[in-house]
Parts: sequence; structure tokens; C-alpha cells
Amino acid sequence: MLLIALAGAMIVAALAGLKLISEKGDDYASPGLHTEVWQSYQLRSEIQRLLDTAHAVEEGQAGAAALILRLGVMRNTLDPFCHTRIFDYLPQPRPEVHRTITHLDSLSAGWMQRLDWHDQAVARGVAAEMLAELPGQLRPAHDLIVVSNIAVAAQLDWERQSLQRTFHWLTVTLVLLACGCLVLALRILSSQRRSRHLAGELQALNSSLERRVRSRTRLLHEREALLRTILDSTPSDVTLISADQRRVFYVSEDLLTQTDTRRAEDFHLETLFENGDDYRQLIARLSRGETLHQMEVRLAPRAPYWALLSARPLHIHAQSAWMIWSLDITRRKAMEHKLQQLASTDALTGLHNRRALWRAAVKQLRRDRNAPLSVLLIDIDHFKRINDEYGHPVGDQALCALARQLDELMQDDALLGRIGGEEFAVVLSGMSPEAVALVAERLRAAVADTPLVVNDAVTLSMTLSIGLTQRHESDSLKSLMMRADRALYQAKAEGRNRCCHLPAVELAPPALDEA
Amino acid sequence: MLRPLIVGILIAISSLAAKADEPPYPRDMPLLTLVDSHGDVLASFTLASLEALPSREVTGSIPDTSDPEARWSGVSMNVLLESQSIAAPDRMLAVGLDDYSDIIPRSDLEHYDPVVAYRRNGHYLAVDRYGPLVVMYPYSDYPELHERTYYSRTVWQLSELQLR
Repeated sequence: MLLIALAGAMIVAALAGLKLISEKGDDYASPGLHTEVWQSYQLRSEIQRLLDTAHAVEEGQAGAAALILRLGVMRNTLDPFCHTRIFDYLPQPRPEVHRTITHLDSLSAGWMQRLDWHDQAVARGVAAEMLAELPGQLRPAHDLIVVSNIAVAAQLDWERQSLQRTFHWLTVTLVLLACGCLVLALRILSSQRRSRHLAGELQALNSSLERRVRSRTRLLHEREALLRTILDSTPSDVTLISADQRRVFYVSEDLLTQTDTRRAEDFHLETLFENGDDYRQLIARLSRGETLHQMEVRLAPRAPYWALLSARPLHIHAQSAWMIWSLDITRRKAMEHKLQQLASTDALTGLHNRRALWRAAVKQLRRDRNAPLSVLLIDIDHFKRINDEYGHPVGDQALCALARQLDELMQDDALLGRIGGEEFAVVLSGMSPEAVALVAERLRAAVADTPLVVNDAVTLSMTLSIGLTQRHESDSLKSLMMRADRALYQAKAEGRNRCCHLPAVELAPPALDEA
Repeated sequence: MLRPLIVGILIAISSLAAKADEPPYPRDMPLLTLVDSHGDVLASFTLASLEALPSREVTGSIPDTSDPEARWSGVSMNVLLESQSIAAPDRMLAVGLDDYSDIIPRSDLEHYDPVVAYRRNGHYLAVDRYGPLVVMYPYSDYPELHERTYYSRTVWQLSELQLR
């Protein structure tokens, strides 16, 4: 701001200086006058010559023409004084000078008017007047010379002073301009130095930045390598892919092998899934921004296996991406399967245990609530005696043999299980009570008629008591089983080795409330 | 009704013109003499003899006076010398009636061809109005003439040319 003001002031000063110079220049464009001193000498001399001519005319040596010429020249010399402003420069006014000029002008004008080129008489008369008048004018004419000299000197000095003032002002202007230039130059120098300094700093910053970028880049590379090592060594397979699936950032070797892909860039997520629906579900949930935990899917269509999938959306380089972990859980699945089997199987006989049988019954019920459902409860008569007589190992073998026999006798869709020590149960669906009764009777008869050989040494003959019943539509499973149990109890009570059939009846609400 | 008025005006103008055309000095009065270096008179000119020569017009003003610029007509110095079959001398001293004088070199005749003027804006010059003859340079054609040198050579009331 200050610099602009300074520059403005410099421009104004320069313009003012230029104006001054141009005005003065105009004054000196044409040669100066200052001829007044010469003219005043001339006037004095012409008055003298006019006097001489007047003498000559009076004495008859010269004519009217000569007198007119001399008078004309004198008047011509006088003329500039009638118009000049030179006497304004006089330090003290000299009014007598103007009186002299006026007097000479009026005298000579009168004479000129009267004279004629051819009238010699008039010329002589005028000459006599001149001789009387002019000698008295020589002294004032001399004074005119003196005063003109003073006036011209004064004018010259005035002009000198004016010129000096001009030079003075020009000097001041030039000094101001020089000062302004100096300030500007210093300013330019300092700003140059500053800009050099700044450039140096910038350079230093730049190089430090480059250094930092290099170290950052190295760090990034190291971290990337570390990340890759971590990913490579995780037990899970990892897929890191952009959300638009155009860019694959990382995919585990195993997955590439499983999808028969050579290069990571050619990996397609969809080819990993055996079931397209799983793939679509995964994509849909990730697209909604959801994080998936432990989704069980079948992977690798060429050699399918169970995998546990976790996935989450994230951002890589400001780009939406998905991270997907998949863990091969084939062994776990197998283990699970085995455990489930263990939990639902009677360890001794390999039949359903009580829980599995119940669950199967419930499933049956759920499948079709209105299908007839029958239950047979089978108990080996006097089994305790076998244990007591032959020992528990034989008892166990006897149970196994019976289980095999029952299993062989039953149709495939029948559910057979061991629900207690020597107690078995059969759940039958879709069969009429009569057919069920026949099945029960067949079982009882078959066991009663067939002695069991255990360890190729002991031959046992066993009989069964069987309680059977059908489910009434109001029955719960528990009430059904209780009725079957009652039927079994009744069979036992009636003498064993028999079937007792309690038909399906509506429950008496208070007595058999299952709650 | 208009006619006498117009005639009257025309007469007045013509009489004025006639008066303006009358020089304020006798036509046969010797105005200018050419003198050689020994003081011998080579030629003498009256207004009549000057007007007999081809005229030249220049524009300028008399220096050191309040005279405004005007058209000056007269005889070119070259023509003047040629009329007397005189070769342009190296220098000429122009002398006025008031005994003022300055030297005009031949180069001025070659470059500027100054005029011995007897009319200013068409009027003859009285002796008390810088006349009858004035050496006039073509100031308006050559701005470089505005110097003291040429101002001094602009001799008014010219009466004699001394050839040197």
C-alpha cells in the first residue's frame, strides 16, 4: 500500500516536473526579445539625425522627402516603446519615461500629418518646429536609454530568478524521485533476497518432503509386505476385492487353486461358490454395508467343502472394498455330524436313544399333524434275571441281539429306539390301529419264538410285554407316551408276554394336564 | 431600390482599393541600391522597377515586434540579383534606413531565398511602419528559422545591399 502511494507520488512528481519543463520550454521556444536597450539608443540617435536633417532642410540642402524618411524612421523606432511592457519590470516606476514617449509620439505624428513628399514650404516650416522642439528631447531620450537598460536588466533578472526557481523545483522533484527510486530499489532488493530465502526454504522443504515420502513409501512397502505375510500365513483364506469387483487386491493361493485361476487379477468371486444363492446373499448383504459373521457355505464347486465365511466392507484408497475370510470347516462339520450321531444314538445298541426318538416323533408330528401316529412301548420280561444269571456283559449282548432282531423286523419308515435299560419304543405313522396291533403282535411272537444265542454259548429265550396306543388329536407327545406306558403296565399286569392296546381317547383335562 | 446601394458599395470599395493600392511614398523614389565591395553603385530600384520583376510571397512576421504573422510579397533576392546579371555573392550586407545592418550569406539565398518585400497582406509599407522595404524569410515554411541569427537578418527599412 505504502509502495503504491510512493509510486503514485513519484508519478505525480514526474508529471509536475514535466509540466514545469514544458511550460518553460514554451517560453524559450522562440528567441527572446530584450531589444529595448538597442531601440532606445536608436531612438536617441534617430532624434539627433532628424535634427541634422531639419538643419539641412532649413538651409535648403535637403528636401521634404529626406525629412519624411528621417521622421518615418524616428517614428518607427519610437513605435515599439508605445507597446512595450518592459517598464513594468522596473523596481521603482519612472512615469517621466511614458511622458517622453507620449510627447514624442504626438509631436512626430503631427509633423508626419503635415508633411508632403512634394511640398517643400511645409517641410521647411516643420523643420523649424523640429529645431525648436527636438533639442529639448535629447535629454529625456537619454533618460529613456538609462531606464530601458534598468528595465531590461530587471526583466533578465526576473527571468533568471524564475529559471532558478524552476531549477530549484526540478532539483527537489529529482531528489524526491531519486529517493523514491532508492526506496523502490531497496524494496526490490529486500524482496529479492526474501524470495531467494523463500526459494531456499522451499527447496529444503521439498527435499525433506521427498526424503519423508521415500521413507514413508518404504514403510508402506514394508507394511504391505508384512500384511501380505500375515494374510499368507493366516489359517483362513482371504479375499480382498473392490466393491465393484473390478480389482482384486489380494486373494489367497488356496482360493486361486480351488477356482482354477492362475493370476489374482483373473479371480472371480462368484466362481468360488457352489451355490449361486449364497453368493448373491453375500453380495447383497455386503452392498448394504452389513458385516457378516460365520456364514456357512459350500465353496469350490469342483471339490466342494464347507466353509465358514466372514466378510465386511471397508475402504482401500478411498475405494469401497470387501474383505472376505473363509475357513475350511469340513473337519468340524464331520465332527459335528459325529457328535450329533453320538448324541442321538444309544451307545450299546446303535438304535435311537430316547431323546432322538422323541425328536423324530416331534418331527413326524410337525410334518403332518393329522396323520395317525402310533407308539409301541416294549419291555423285556424279567430281564433282571438274565443279568443276575449270566452277568451284565451277556445282558448287554442280549440287548444288542434283540435290537438287531427288532430292527430287522421293522419296516424302514418305523422309528425304533432304546429308551431305557431293557425298554424299547417304536413310533409308527400313517398306519391304522389294527395294522399297528398286528405289527406289535408280530414282534411279540417273533421274539417269543426265536431263542437268542449269545457268544455262541448261551441260548436265551425272551418274551416281550408291549403297550401300544394311538395319538388322539388332543394328545401331546407326553400324554401319548404316558398312555403307552399305561398300556405296557397293563400288559405286565395281565401276565406278561402279551400286547395291550389302549385306544386313542380324549384326555381328561385335569388329570393329564401336561403342564 | 437595391441597385443604387450595391453600386454605391462597389464604388466605395473600389475607391478604398485604389487608395490601398497607392503607396505612401512616390513610386519613382529610389528605395534600394546595390553597391559593390568598393562602394560603387551597381543598381538602384524604385517601387516601379521592383514591381516590374516577378514577385514571390512568403509568410512570416517581423521579429521583436508585436506584428502578427502576415503574407509578405516582393522580389526574391535571387531574382533581384539575376535581374542585374549579378552572381550571388558570398555575403551581402543588408543596411536599413536607421543604419542597422547584418550580413546575409549566400547559403541563405540557396536554402531559403529571402524576399525583399514591399507589401504586407497586400498593402504597401509606410516608412514609419517598417517600410518601404523589408527583408523577409519564409518563416512559416522553415521552423528552424526561428533563431536569433535569422531574426537579426530580417532587416526592416532596407535601403542598401552591399555585395561582398
